[in-house]
Amino acid sequence: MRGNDKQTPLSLALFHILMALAGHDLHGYAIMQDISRQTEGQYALGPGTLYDNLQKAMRRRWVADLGHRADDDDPRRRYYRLTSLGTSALTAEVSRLENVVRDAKVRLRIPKPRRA
Amino acid sequence: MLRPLFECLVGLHPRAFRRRFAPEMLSIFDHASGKRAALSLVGDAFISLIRQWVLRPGFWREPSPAEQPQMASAGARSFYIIENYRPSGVALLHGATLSLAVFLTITLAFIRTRGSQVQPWLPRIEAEKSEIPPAAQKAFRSTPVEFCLGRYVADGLHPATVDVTIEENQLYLTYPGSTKTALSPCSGSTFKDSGSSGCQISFSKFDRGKFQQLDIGQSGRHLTAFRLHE
Repeated sequence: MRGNDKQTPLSLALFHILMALAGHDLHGYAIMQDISRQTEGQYALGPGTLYDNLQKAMRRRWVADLGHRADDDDPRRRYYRLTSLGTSALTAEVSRLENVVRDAKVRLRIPKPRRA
Repeated sequence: MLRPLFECLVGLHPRAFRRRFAPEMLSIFDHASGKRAALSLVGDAFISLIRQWVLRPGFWREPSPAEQPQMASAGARSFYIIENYRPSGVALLHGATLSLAVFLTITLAFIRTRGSQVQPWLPRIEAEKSEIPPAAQKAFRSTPVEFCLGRYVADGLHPATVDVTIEENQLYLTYPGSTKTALSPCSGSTFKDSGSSGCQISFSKFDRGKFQQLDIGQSGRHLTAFRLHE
């Protein structure tokens, strides 16, 4: 976890990519579709941004390239899997975001009026 | 029309990126439905092109096979080991030759400088030239002889003061208005008169950077003189 400290906060794209891969092994196009579902269509990731972040994640050993799958109808697709390091990075980021949200909630809390 | 443009933009990416991701990017483009979607992918490819060349110089180089992420099969590996690494025979020979050369150089240097306190490859630090005789220096061992110099005073001494000085590499006990007595080292901080008087002195009570006491023994008589502070 300590090794990921300097690499957080994650960029929005990388966070969503890791989140998409947390569930299943996916190819690039499926990752884009999953992100679209995650954000209810509010965040559309292009292939350039996707593969830039995937490249970054693979350099950090957060994502492993599984290669092609014989059962896929498009032989150009490669599948990607979240590694244990990637899981740690995602967990650290989620934890950080939880703290941010908790802090924000505390700051936004309107003090209840006291009863006389 | 947009596909060739997209293909061209993808083809302009750095080689390492292109070789790895170009087929997949084209696959995604082929799945795009509608001109608007295709246009957005072209725009994304253009931004990606700039990003890759401007912001990702570290990714231009193709990773070596050792650096490439491991293909995950049964499970993704999160660490790598080098136990299968074996240095080549030539590398071992070079290493052995270099080690032998360094060993022989050091050994020869020790042999040639045996008895010398300063090793030849170390920068020589010239000691400050001292007027103190080497014998006296040696006699004091750890404490420099300069620390005993000065004027001492004693009640039973006539005259009451005595000076310890150095002149021409010789330590002297000088009674004011009288002759100087050359001192030769005996042991430690003890000296004796070089002449026939049989006077023996020893410095003691080292304090505040100097010896504070001078014990004088002469003809069975013993006197203690204390440093006179200026």
